[in-house]
Amino acid sequence: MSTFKEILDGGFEAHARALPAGGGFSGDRSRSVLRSIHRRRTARAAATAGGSVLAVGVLAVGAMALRPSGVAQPGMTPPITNGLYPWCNLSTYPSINPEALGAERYQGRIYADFANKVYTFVAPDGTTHGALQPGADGNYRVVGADGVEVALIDAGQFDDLAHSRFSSMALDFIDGRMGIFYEPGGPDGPMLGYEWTTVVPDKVPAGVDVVALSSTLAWTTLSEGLSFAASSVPPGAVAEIVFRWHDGRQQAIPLHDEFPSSAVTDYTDLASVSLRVSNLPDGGVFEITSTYDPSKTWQAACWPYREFAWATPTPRVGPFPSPSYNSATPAPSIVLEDAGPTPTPSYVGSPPTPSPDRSSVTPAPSPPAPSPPAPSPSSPSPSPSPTS
Amino acid sequence: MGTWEPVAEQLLEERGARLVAYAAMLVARDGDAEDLVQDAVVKCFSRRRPVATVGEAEAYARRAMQTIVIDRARARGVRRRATDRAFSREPRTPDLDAGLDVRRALRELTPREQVCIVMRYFDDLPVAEIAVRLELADGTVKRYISNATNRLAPLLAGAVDWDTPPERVEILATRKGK
Repeated sequence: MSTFKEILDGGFEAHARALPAGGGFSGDRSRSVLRSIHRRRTARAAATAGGSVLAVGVLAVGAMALRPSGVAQPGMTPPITNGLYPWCNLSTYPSINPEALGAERYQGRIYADFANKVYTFVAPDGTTHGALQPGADGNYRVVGADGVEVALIDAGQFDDLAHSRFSSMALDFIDGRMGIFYEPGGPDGPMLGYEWTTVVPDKVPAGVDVVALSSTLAWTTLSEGLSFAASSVPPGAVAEIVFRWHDGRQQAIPLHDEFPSSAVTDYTDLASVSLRVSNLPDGGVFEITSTYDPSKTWQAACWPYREFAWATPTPRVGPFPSPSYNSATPAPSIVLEDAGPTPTPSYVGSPPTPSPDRSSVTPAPSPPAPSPPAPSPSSPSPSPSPTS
Repeated sequence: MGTWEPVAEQLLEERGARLVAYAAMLVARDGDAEDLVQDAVVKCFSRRRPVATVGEAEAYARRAMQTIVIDRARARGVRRRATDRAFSREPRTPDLDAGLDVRRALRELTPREQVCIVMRYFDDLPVAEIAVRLELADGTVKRYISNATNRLAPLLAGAVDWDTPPERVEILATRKGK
């Protein structure tokens, strides 16, 4: 007879020996972990340096990263909000691009004012549910656009956020997942989603779950989504992520059950990314394709001028020598504090259809009138010179 | 490549199996263990000053797993959140037989009990240390361990010699009111 500790130790050792080398952390899985770390560290670096992005790990939702990304647009000037530096005035924050989501549906956005404990939900049709009340469990729940429950779960982090510079956030909710995380122009490329247009064919073969596959594809295009589930395709079917470039190059990477799809490794001349399902029972091939057009980059409005360096095609995150966030400079204000108890930013109230001219620097259909930045000895030049 | 990357890669390559085996004692099924490890490793290396050695990283990752499980148990909405995560999908790989009996027994416990009993008997941590790490009261930890041992005893009957008496919780009767 053994002691309980011996039983535990024995079970542990036997299990560890029986596992594959590395415990299954090899190849795609390992890269996925490293990529997640990169993402977190990138967000953290940006938060430290510029104060405009935050990954809320415990929430499993994403805060809006407001950083211009993608290809430079000649002649653009960054909009200015609230008289300060163009940080994140949430009312001018662009909605997500529904066209990038494929068969997934945008459920709505929660404006979270952690400092004042005011949480406002805005559905895609503009319906506003102001000042959500916590349930018995202390969490905030509301029904989204398609009857899907949107939940803002406080796992103890709200108080921390309330006392941080990220006391207000806008959180988008997508089908099947809690939110979308926009990385600020990090190594994974632009993340606002306006560069992508995803088309799901009308005719969907039996056994193909287009919502799940769209989410898997979004892992590549938006850097956020669910991993691939083999159950989303018929038994025996083969699923791949296919990268295509304008010069004719093509790369197909197989998808494995429970593993996320691959990241884009080369945006240069990238034409599209597809999730292709072949070997279907009828012998056919089904493909969901996200086409990539860097000229459609939505230039988010919230970044210090100096960081609107259009000459940098793929902005990298920090450290940012922005003097606008030093201790002598007032912190940027957040619109939730300005807009009253039930802020209803007009662009959110509209159906989340992007502007036809997405290359416009104006990120929202109805942004507040720009005003010049407050003069400050430490402010960078408000006149970036487009160089590309 | 950041300085943390070689350490992270080495951790996953060399210690991945041990981390997964450890995680499997804290979760409800083997299929969730890898995901717990992933979350813990991400947490470990997302710190501003990531760990410098593999040994340190493994220790940190184990501690992170404990707190992650407790944190998730605290959030009642966790089930909904979990269903939104990829890892909540039904794993295709069944539980491994090796050491499964004890894991099955552990999985009869609540998440808090599961973590506490593993920390107490596998990691050999005293109650006070567990309480500090999990931000629980000593008495709470004792109660979890007591409940856990009481529930495990019949499940592992004949296999375990409880060399130490099950943890006891001292309950003080107090008069409420004026």
